[in-house]
Amino acid sequence: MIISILPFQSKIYSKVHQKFDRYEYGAIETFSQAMINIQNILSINISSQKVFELGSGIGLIHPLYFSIFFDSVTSIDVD
Amino acid sequence: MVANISVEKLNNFGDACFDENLLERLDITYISNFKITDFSSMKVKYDVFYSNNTLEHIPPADIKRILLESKRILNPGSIHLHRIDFSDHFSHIDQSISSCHCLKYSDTSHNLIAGNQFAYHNRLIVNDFIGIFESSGYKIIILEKNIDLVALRLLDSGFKLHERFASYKKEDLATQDVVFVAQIIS
Repeated sequence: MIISILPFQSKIYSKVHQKFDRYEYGAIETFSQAMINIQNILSINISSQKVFELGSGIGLIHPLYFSIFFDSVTSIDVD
Repeated sequence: MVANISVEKLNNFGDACFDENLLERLDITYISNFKITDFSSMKVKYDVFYSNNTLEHIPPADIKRILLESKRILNPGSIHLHRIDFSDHFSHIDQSISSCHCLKYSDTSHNLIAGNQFAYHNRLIVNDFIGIFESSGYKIIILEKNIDLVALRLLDSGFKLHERFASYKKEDLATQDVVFVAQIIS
């Protein structure tokens, strides 16, 4: 399943990595796998979902990736 | 999976410039200084409520408030999806300690080094989170545990836990991170 996120590596990872130094590759793998599970179990197409992101340990980078999976994303800081 | 990724957005990202318009182009709204009480004034409804490596840094009482308040902005059938990192975060940079190292300390001792806004860690165990979700009206429908076998061996060989953690199963204490999905039931 991890191969399904190759676009991240080839097209996006290098650009993000140039800009930020806190990128956590494993989180994307985990996220991708979780999305697959949700689609399979709940029979929903996640690409048309609206997402509210409570927070991410890797900061603002993550919602950028979410935008590829989801219809729209709202992200907040948790103080 | 690839077929469900927005090809248009992926192409946009491939040539992404990190300028002030990037979030707008990718349809991301970024809000800072958000308060729990702000949920009540939000007009948009969501399908997924997500966090990554975040819930372990929020006090238990506030997690419950977030779970209850988040129902205001979720459509029927919506899901919560969270990845939680239970490991001692100091072990990420200190190879001499294990992922369960922080479980040896009392709350008072742990707060001496982690009781601040930068390093706060609630040290809840996976079952604690399940309990908070279930008592807040959610049902866990997916739970993927990642057990740290090094930590499990340490615990099996007599690692001295603080009494706060003495009643937990070793497999739960050695759970390094989880991804889980929950649905609203009430």
